[in-house]
Amino acid sequence: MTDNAASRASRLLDLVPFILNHPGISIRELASEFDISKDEMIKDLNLLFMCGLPGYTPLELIDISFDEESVVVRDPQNLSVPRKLNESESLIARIALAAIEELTPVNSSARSKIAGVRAKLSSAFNSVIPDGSLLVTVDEERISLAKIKEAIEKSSDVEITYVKLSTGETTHRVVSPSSISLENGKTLIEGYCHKAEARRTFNLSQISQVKLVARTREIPLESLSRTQGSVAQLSIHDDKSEFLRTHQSSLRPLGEKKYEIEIFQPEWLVRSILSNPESIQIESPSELRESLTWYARSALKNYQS
Amino acid sequence: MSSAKTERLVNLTMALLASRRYMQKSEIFRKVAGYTGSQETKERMFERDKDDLRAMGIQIDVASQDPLFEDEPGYRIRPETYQLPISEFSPEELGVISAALGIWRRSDFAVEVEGAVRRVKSSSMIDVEVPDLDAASLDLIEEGLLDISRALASRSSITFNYQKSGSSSSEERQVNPLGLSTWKGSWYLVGEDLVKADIRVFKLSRITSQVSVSKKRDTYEIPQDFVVKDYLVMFTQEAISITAKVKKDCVQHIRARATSLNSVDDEWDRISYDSDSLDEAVREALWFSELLVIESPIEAKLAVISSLEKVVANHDR
Repeated sequence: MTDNAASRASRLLDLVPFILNHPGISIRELASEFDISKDEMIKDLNLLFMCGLPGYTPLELIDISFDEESVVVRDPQNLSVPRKLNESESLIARIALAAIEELTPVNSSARSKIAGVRAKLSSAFNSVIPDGSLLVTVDEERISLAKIKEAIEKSSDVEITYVKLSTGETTHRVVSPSSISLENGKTLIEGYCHKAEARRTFNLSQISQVKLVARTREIPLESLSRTQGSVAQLSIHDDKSEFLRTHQSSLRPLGEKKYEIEIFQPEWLVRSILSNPESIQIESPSELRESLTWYARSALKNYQS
Repeated sequence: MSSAKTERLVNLTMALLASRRYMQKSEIFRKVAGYTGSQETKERMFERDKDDLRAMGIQIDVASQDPLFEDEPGYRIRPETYQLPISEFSPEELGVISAALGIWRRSDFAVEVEGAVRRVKSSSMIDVEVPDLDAASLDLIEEGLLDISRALASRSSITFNYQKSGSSSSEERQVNPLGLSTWKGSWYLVGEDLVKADIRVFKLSRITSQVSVSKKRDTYEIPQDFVVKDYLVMFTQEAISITAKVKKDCVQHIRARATSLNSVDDEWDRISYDSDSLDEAVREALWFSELLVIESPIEAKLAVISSLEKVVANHDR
């Protein structure tokens, strides 16, 4: 790695164009921008004074004038344009841009703008690292989960966008999260919903754009008991079924291929069965069975029309 | 002492940048301030200075002054390789770059890019709104990543101990990094294993030692058509393109990845989107059953219909 003299030289080379673009900046601001003390900054400026082009007469030296309040470059010589990003810096910038691009909706104009900058970055800097060398994928659910965990640890609230499964309608809510659990292959967030003013359970996959916000109202989260759901009975004839594998923890075997499962969100259960149709039968309750066939019949009608 | 060296590095950079010709060493020693002492001392100083500037990412071109004679090589820095191409980037684009670099602010990458942030900022002078994200919450920070990305940037080989999946001990590997990829919150390195003489995939979390980066730079080349994805089994599944009708204002999950969207009538939109596999497309269509109607490919459509019929048959009583 570069030693102290080299990293200081690097800073001096960057100082000239920076001051040129921020004429009249104070020494204090400049020092904080470059993350050094005021004394070190004054030493740097004094050293820059002595640097210049061969000949080293006053005409060839970098000319800077400064007092406490204001630093101005009178003559930058040939250092007016900032240095290019080096290969390592541009690689790290490309990783960052790729990650942000991943998190931006596919057909938004912001996304194509970010993609454009990223492509430009590798071509403008003549990168020897091809675009194909980098692949950044971002798992939005993991990010949301990390933020919710942080909120629980810090006792803060989260502002979330929640997508309603049936209609795709989105709502914004402030939630005081209390616990995270894994059930039926889904990650569930429990907490107090300030919009509904009641305890609610949210499916992580329906949550997006989690933002931590300060808790404004104390809710005794522990004292709120979870509403008791009713129970459904299923027959599952295929014991290699994907549904069995992913819902193992919440299915209670009753013998003879029959299982019991808590109906936590009826719609969610019905859609899970629909999307895993390998010989699963709902034995009871009948409302759930009817609702399942209603979905299937409506869909078939759409396909016939 | 250190301040003299700093001054000499700045002077050398400015002189090589100003010169339109290749400057020979003798000319550099004569003209550039700071080269003093015996010939041998000056030579040694210059070699170190050159290495320092290159390590800073400054490109120094070397060529013979007179191609007809095998004379002493000369040196220069071309402005186009030194300067930020500010004419090619709008202030807004530079703002996007500086904001993007901000995601590293709370990681050990911060020091690596602080200079870059300032340089980009000094010509953008614009604050661009980007989502408030940081690399840690994006799952982008992993031990060893900074060393590996430095090695990739300078094309230097790396050495580390690696514990293969299913193995209880680790062994030393020497690798030329070719590409990096994330998958579900983990980083993967694809590189040429110098002992096995083959391209291999390494999961960063299975590296059990420090990553040591060779001091030698530019020791290999990355083929311009290299694609990291080709080596990662989780990405090699072909995506298939689906066309479907979706109910208006519904199924945001799929709309979010739509590549095209047209309105059909008051009730339906027609969208195209990619799915990882046919099975995945069918599973998704079944989940949203009455809200989504697959139109193509026909295999997916028929699979959905037959599954729906099975559901009805299973429950008709």
